[in-house]
Amino acid sequence: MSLLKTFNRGGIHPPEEKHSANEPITYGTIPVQLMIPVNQHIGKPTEVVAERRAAVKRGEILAKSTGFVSSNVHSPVDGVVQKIVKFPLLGGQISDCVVIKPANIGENFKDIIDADTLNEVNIEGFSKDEIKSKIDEAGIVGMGGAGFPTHVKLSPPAEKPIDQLIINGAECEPYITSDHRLMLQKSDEMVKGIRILQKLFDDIPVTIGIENNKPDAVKSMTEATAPYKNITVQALQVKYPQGGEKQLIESITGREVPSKGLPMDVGVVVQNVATVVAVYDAFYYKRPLTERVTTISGNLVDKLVNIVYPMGTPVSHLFEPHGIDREKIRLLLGGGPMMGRTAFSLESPIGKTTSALLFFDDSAYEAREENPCIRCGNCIDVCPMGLPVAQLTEIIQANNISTSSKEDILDCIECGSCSYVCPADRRLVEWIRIGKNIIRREK
Amino acid sequence: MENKHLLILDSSPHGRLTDSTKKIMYTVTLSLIPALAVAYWFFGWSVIRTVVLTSIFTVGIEWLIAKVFDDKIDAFDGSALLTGVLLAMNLPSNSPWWMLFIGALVAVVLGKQVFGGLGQNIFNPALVARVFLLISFPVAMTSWPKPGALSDAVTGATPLGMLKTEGIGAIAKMDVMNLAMGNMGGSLGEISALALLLGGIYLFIKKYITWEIPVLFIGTVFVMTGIFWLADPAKFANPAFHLFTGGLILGALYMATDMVTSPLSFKGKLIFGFGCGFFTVIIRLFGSYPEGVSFAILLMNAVVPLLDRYFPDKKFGVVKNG
Repeated sequence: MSLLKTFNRGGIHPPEEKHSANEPITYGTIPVQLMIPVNQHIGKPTEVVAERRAAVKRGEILAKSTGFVSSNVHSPVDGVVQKIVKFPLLGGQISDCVVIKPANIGENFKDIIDADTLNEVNIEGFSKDEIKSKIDEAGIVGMGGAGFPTHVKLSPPAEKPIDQLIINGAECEPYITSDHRLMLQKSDEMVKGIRILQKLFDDIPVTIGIENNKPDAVKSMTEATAPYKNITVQALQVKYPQGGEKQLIESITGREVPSKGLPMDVGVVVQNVATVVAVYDAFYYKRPLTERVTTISGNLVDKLVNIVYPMGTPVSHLFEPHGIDREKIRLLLGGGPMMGRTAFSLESPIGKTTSALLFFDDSAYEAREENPCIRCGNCIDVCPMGLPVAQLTEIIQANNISTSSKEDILDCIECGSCSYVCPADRRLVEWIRIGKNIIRREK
Repeated sequence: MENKHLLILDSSPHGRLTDSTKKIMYTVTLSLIPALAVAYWFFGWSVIRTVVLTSIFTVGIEWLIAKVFDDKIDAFDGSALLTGVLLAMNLPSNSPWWMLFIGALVAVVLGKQVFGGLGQNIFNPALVARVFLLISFPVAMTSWPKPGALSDAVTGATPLGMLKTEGIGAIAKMDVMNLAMGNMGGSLGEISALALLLGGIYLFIKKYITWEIPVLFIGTVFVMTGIFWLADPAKFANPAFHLFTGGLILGALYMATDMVTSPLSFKGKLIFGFGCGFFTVIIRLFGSYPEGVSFAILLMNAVVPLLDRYFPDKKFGVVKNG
């Protein structure tokens, strides 16, 4: 194995808590009702095409993309559209949701998935535009958390030549193990997916970045990529936020994405491992993105799992099969503890970016009061973007944002390392988020 | 509670490191124990008396301020205690109680609370108080008990004081090793360089202080006094003497590295450390006071906001293009 790489500035080592790492991917049952959010991406809102009381088939479009930076949403099951309602998602935003009554309530979702037919695919037969439009049609978005439409990320302008593709298998967030399991169990599919993406950029080198706390994943991916010379696996030091796009690029290539810039400015495109598997599914099974592996963990969960539920499954459907005591839930996180958001409804649906659902009781939460800053500088030391966090939050609190500090504030990747280490319990990243909102409103 | 079953809404991250302001303050206070033990060895019970009295005064005054003005102030967060102990370490062990009280009052009120309390002060509170006392009560503040003297009656000048008033001949017979151990007259906490270093190393391992300020501070003093000594050894004391006398080690490890009043950026810390050392040497060699550490640190405290502003750390993704 080659030397472990990592990013230069800052970073922290929160407890890993990856208790579900040894649980193979399983499949859940189909709930009595699916509530499918019509907007699960960053970009233009979709146009709902599903009609009330109409029957839908698995894979049928429910909401249509309305532009380039937009993304289709499909039905994961056969069923009947009941209504379209507004409902809070796990992230807290309110979205229109298509409510579907599935035809096969209670059936294991695996049977539905297994019914899809595997096709022979000759990648050479596709043009670059055909590949992109197929990914676009399948409604694939970045599954690492941001939900940015994948076909957009794969279409850099001609003046930005891409010479390196990076597959993000860092999974630096505590608790989450869904990407880990994919790398173990779907390594061959992943490599086929990578080959499709590689075709878009004329077989440029591909590096799969994996944190070294997953040696089995490093091994399985190394084996799966062995036949391909220009697909390599890079083991990375365990350090949060290794999976941050800019940090991962620095770790692997040593290039720094410029301030306000994008990965393509340094000739790199990054895709998450789950996204790559979704691309594979779209080509080999003609299967749009309607399900994903979600890690169910937290101190209230009896049976930790990495499980596939149809998109739109409400959280409440998980209580019985996973032994979660509904009465005790105080903290429900969509995503990991470092960047995940607290949900405020137990009926919120699982979506394309729900990498984990974490259930905690009272003991996991401690209300903390902000104390005065003692200028210890810890926040600045751990900031992976090298930002003067302490001063920035002071500026934001005084509502005195200058032009130069504006750039700093917008460069924040909101990893939360600063808040994590602050001895005075200051809500630093929250203040920076508030600063970002102030700046956006001024525009 | 009626909201027992409601979900908690909060923003990420949902988890914190267990470090706290209290823990930092009490750890720093604890790291002073070796130096205090050496002080006790040389000066006896008066050391304990002075430390306990100033601590009670500083914490008490802060508690009163919290009671009267702002109940958000936590007098027991350790910062007032640390100020008290550090102030005591900067004073002769035979200081009268009323002087300690005035010192505590100046430190907590003028040094800290008038600026807005913890984290807001520009100057190191303990040093503000020390300089205040030094200017107000010059005689009491320069009658240092001699080490080993069991009664407070035997007092004298510090080695630096002797150097200033009597010239280079007065210190010719002093053994550097003896000075490093702390066997000399001086403030109760500043005498033993080695014990202070021990505490400093502990803080460094705990990452509560960084190397930049102490290394630049002490290094600058060593190099500058070394240059003068080489130029004219008949007039100037050797650098080792300067290293182990006065408040240099205490100042460099504990006063200049005070989180609140030192710069945040790397370059800022380097300049801050250098400035402290530079002004210390200028005052020691050419000023009217024998010792310049306190003045130098206070001077540099004043420019900390400028250092932070004009020498920020390089941030991610900013490439210098010529």
